[in-house]
Amino acid sequence: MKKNIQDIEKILNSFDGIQTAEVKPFFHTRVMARLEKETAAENTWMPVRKPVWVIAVLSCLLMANIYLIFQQIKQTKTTDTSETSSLQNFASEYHLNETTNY
Amino acid sequence: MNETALIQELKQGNAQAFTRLVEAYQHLVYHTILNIVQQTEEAEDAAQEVFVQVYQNIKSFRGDSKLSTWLYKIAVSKALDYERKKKTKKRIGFIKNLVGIGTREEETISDFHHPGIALDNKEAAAVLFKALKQLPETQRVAFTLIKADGLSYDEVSTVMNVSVKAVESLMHRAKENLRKILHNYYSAND
Repeated sequence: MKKNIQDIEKILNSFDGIQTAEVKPFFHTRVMARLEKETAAENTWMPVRKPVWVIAVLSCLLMANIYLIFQQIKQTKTTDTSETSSLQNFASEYHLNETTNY
Repeated sequence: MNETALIQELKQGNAQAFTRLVEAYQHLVYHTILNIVQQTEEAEDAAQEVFVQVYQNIKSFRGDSKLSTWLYKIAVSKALDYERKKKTKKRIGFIKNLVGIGTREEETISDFHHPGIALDNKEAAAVLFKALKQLPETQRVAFTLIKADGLSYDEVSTVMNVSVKAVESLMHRAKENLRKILHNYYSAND
């Protein structure tokens, strides 16, 4: 038990005298390469990455969709009315509305 | 190196100033991250990300604290991000294996041997690094910053954005928890 306590304290103090770990050589070159890569990617996607642009594009799409849906509904109503009137014309032309005694 | 002048040059986008910054702080950043992630490739990757972030956000640095403190802050946050990503990956892998769509990659859990620890302390430090993984994030960060990075309680309080009293408490709880973990470790191995 006493040995365990001593061991635990030894472990807790095992970082004493630790030397700074060093990066591999040419770290700066690798950072610059990464930076260039990220800057290039950012320039390509910049308009899409900014939240303002994303919101603007989505709003435009939503408005266009709403407009198209309303147009579609309007068109369907007009078609229904014209279809009914053309049927009535057809019926009157062939005297289908008239009752006969055959 | 005059820190104020360096920051000014960095804000102006001076490439040489950035080189000087990387050369001056690369080991410090890498060491801090390595103590948390305990994996050399990941630590190098995260350290690169720290400097990329510094380059991109230097204009937002107000100079309220020392440049090194700001770097410590970014380094700790990056290291914790890596840790969280690793944990999420592990969880997803576990679930995938559970439902039978995983690739069943066997993870080799090996001891981490820090390159800056003297040979006679290597084994003990490996056990300590393993035990540290079981601590809550804040306790772990406080412990490594003080014991492995050699920061003062005051500096840690600035890096962690908490009071000195809070750091003292975190350190106390970290030690207590580590003692319990190590005690269990020895009980299991006896």
